Amino acid sequence: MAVTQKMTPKERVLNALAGKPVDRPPVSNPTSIATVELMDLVDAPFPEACRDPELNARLAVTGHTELGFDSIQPYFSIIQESSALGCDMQWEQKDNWPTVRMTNPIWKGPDDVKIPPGFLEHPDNRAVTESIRLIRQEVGDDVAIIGKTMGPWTLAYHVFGVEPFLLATIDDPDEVMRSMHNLKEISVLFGQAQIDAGVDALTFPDHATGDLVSGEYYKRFLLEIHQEMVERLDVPIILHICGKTVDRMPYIAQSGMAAFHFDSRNEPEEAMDAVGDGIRLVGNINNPLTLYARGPAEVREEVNRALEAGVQMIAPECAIPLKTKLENLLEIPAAVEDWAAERMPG
Amino acid sequence: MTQTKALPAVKDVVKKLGRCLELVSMDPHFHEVTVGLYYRGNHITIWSFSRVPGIEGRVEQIRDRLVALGGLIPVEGTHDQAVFPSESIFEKPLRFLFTEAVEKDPSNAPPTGPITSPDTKSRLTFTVSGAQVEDKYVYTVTAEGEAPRPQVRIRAVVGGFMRYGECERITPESFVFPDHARHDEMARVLLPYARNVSAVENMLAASDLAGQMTTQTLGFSQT
Repeated sequence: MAVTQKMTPKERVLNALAGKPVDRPPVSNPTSIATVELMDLVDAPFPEACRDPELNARLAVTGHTELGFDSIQPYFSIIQESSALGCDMQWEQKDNWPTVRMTNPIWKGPDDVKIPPGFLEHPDNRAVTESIRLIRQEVGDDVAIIGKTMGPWTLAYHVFGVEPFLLATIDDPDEVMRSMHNLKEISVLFGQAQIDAGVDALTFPDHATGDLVSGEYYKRFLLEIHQEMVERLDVPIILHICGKTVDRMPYIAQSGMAAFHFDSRNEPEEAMDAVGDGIRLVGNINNPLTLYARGPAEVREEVNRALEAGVQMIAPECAIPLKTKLENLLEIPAAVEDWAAERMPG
Repeated sequence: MTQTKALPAVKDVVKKLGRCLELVSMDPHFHEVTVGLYYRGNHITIWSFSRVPGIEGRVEQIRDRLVALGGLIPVEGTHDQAVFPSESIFEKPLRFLFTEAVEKDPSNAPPTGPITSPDTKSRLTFTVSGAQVEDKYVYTVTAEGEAPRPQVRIRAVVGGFMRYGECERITPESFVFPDHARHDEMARVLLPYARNVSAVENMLAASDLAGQMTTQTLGFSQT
């Protein structure tokens, strides 16, 4: 069914996530599109912009007001909840991502998983939830705000350390499942807090990446939990997993999530084939080679390829490099507009 | 929170300035602002989205360093613009030059005199000297000092000029810039990079990785 009326950015995003008709494919950002130049523009540099709601909102909103994306993502990194849990943090500076020092884990097993009192009131969680409220006041109801809550697999890397956690999946898978079930409560708690603050959708990064684990791991440890998240978090959820994931996409398509945010290491055509009608796809413009190192012509080429393959929402594959040139980001919505004008004449 | 409205729209700035060649994300000499080198043809503009008081003066200082270190020609009546001394820019050398113009201590006087640099892999000292040969200005690399097989090192330095200066090799010891013209300041900027390609490659790779969120930088990979 053709859509003849121009939609608001929010309608466009929500319709695409629901598999409904759109006036053109939305340009979205399930992860961050903050850059060092945008930080200067609004005087909201990292790491302060990750920790202060006002600065966070100011920086996040530029993705829509300056770059023309259809959605706003106020959670730039992947470490806010882990900081609130007490992980050892490395906040870095303006031109680098804050990280968790995973070589210094805080917990050893499922029985250690405890949500600290005042978790949602921790400043690094409030930086996101309060920012969402500020953004909603600023942009009204026409623009989609996409929040982000880490899945249990990602949280496990942070709190247990990558190597001990992965070894445990071999040595004691039952204990790992108990950890997953305990950690998922953190995902729900922070996700629900963002829903209460006003997000329209949630990104759910859960880094069972192709670099580290097989597709069968996804099915064994995460599929049912992801299905449960869909039941418990009452907004469309966008699953995000980096890396080569095409081997697990058929399982991901059974998760019930609204969309899967996929990496450029998967060709858009093979990804579409792998998920079939089971889930919508968001992505997959390459970050290090294209958005960071090449120019608008190459960006446009990738956007067009994804659209021709049938990818429903166009986005960078992951949080963009902080030194990404703005001309490349501006080219994404421009290319989508041009493609839609030619291929979806209203 | 309405911070952006009084500021120039990003789209308009990019449209006006042209392509961004290089960004230095944190200026070590001015409030850690981000400074970009934009170009259209051979016309370049130094730009920062920051509005920290004094930013115009700092941009002018960087422009003037590009002029002094790289032989660019300032555009009269501007504080932020210059012309590259050829019909089109040499992208790679200009990126090195811009980074130096921003990051090196602005109080240091630009180097003058012969273009020389000690080798990082031997006790040689390289010298680059140029001369007009018919329609080309040809630069020749020589070396002084004790080292086995200095010709191998000289060939490597010329290779470095080809890699980072977009130069053409004329002989194993000599090269020309892409427009065959004289660019002494650019040769001076490039020599320290040209003499040690492997170290420069490591430096560039590390620089490219900073600010990238990948499974590797997140620690979610085997490498």
